Amino acid sequence: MILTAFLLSAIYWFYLLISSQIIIVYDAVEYESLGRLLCDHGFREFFITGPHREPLYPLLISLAMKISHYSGLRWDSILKIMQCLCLLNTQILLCWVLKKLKINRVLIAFFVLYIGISPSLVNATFSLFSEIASIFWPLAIVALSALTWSNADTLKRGQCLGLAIATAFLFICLTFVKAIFEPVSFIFMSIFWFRLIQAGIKKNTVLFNNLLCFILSFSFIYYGAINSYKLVNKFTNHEFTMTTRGPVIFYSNAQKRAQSIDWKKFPAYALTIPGNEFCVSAFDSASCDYWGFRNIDLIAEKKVNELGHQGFQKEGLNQQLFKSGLERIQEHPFSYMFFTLLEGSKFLFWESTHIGFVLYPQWLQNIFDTLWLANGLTLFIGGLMLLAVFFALRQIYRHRREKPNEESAIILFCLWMTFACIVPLSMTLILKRYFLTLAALFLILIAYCIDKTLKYLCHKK
Amino acid sequence: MSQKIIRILGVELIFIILALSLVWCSQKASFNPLKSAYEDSLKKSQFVTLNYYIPDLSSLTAFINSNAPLTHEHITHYQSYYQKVAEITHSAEAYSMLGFCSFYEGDFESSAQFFQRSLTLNPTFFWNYYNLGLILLKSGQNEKALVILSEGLKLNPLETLKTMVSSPIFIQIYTSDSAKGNNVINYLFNNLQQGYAQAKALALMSCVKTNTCKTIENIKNIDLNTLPLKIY
Repeated sequence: MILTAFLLSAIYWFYLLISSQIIIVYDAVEYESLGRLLCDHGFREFFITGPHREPLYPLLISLAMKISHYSGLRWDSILKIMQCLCLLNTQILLCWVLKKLKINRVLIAFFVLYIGISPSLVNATFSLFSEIASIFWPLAIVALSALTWSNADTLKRGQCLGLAIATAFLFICLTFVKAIFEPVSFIFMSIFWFRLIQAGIKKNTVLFNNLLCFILSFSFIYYGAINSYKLVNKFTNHEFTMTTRGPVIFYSNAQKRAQSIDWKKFPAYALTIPGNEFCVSAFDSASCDYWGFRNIDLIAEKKVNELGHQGFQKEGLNQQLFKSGLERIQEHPFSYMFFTLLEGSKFLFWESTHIGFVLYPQWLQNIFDTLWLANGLTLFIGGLMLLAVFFALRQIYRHRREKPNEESAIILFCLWMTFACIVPLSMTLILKRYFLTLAALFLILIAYCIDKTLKYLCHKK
Repeated sequence: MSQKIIRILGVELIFIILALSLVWCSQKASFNPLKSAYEDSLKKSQFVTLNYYIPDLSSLTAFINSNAPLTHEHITHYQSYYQKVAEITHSAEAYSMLGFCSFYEGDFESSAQFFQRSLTLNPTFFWNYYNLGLILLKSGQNEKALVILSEGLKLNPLETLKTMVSSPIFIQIYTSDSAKGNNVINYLFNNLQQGYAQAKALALMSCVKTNTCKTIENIKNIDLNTLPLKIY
């Protein structure tokens, strides 16, 4: 049955490979030009003309361009095949993790199929945005962290080191696709610090030593790699940074949120939480766009011009933008907090048929455009997510005193990774596609919730 | 474990081979129903992409109506849009618009090249001859200007009118101009009449400058800077 799920999704992807097309607009234009830059001139030019966006996805594009050069096939088709492979790997890993959780085989088959046909994930696979290159890594990180967590007191030093190297490598790959995972990694690792302190207090030497070895090795490798990349940027383009987008998005959103709450504008914002399409159906597009991503560059551009007139050089602009954002937040901290908390709740509504940027065959587009289906799916998955998160929290709370096993550790890390991502993301701006990175984890939480509920109901009967 | 990994790698390899063969069939095979489906979707996606690049045309219509100046930013937006249109559709009108943008930016050489390209693609569109003639005159190439303007004057104005009312590029511009309402055809026709008259004057001017019609000395003194380029 699971094999059929894999086959069905592969057939669907093969069909879309020839019948759908990437629409290259907005960020995709930049990704394409970065891919071309890497393909034609290599990393030297990439750094000299930088800082640019995170390098891993442009590298994937440049690889597709190189293969296209030798094969004569279009580069976007090659890229689509590569992106299908990313989704296939995620599908395989999801299947493995669900088996570890002892989920019913029918449910595993269903979720393997769902990840293959989910409108938002398929959209990520057939578009030119970096989310698809990041989907696999969080799932792998959760699987490895769960392994470390549940066996932390029995691991040998070498195994500990191996797990730390592997986890650091996965986090490096993820950060090179999405720089936001640099602060995420810090929050994510704090749970190991917490357990380390606990082990220290309880004088559990083996656990303490193993966790210390894991954390220190991880930090040394991960921050070493990330800071080396930043240093190369510093030497070549005088910016000690991964990417330039962070401060721009942070400042613009601080500017939008840190002001007295206008209750007339608020309903429009509330409706953008499940999705912009919900807002547009009730308000004019100008009210909805105010809370969206379109005016971000415009707001930041005004500030950059202002800072330029004040004599700030290009090198210090990012820092200054970040500082100005913080100043804005200090003026209206409660309003900023309120909107930030609401922004965080967007993670529930990650599923959508309206992400755009892909031209599907007409019959499929008609299905995706069916209003009740599109909105219904978003709300249905949102509802399931809410239930699944509460269920997982309840399970963790109920079993908090038990010795951690791999099953509970997987659920714990799925939740913890979600939390670690929500914190920095909600401080900036959350677009639907940003949470696709965690889609596999969300599906695990939903599958776990459904499986446990069904088993409970069957047992009751 | 290692056996499982080998099995997974094997599956992925089969997937890659199948996907590549499918893509090759849809793009390279000479007779294949997949090919036309692929090409159709590709063409459609290019047009859909264009929609995202449509700039705000109100400043352009303001320029057409009252010669209101265009900023460098406007021109850059128009240029990148019409460049994309030209790449995808190869339409003569897109090259005309690129010629107009380059002229406005002071790059007469590129502008002349774009108008020449447009003229090759659509030899019945009067305004290309007019604009190219004006540029040639401005750059002192009087003889060439005379040839181009004379060719333009021989054209049937109805052909030009037909292009203007059927070209999506021009329709896009004058439909964004609410001031004209239902009088678009009249407006286009009147402008065309004036254009022909001005082209005649320019032709005379160039023949005076090339000493082929010495009697009309005063035509030499027409101030070229008072004559703007015309989109339609």
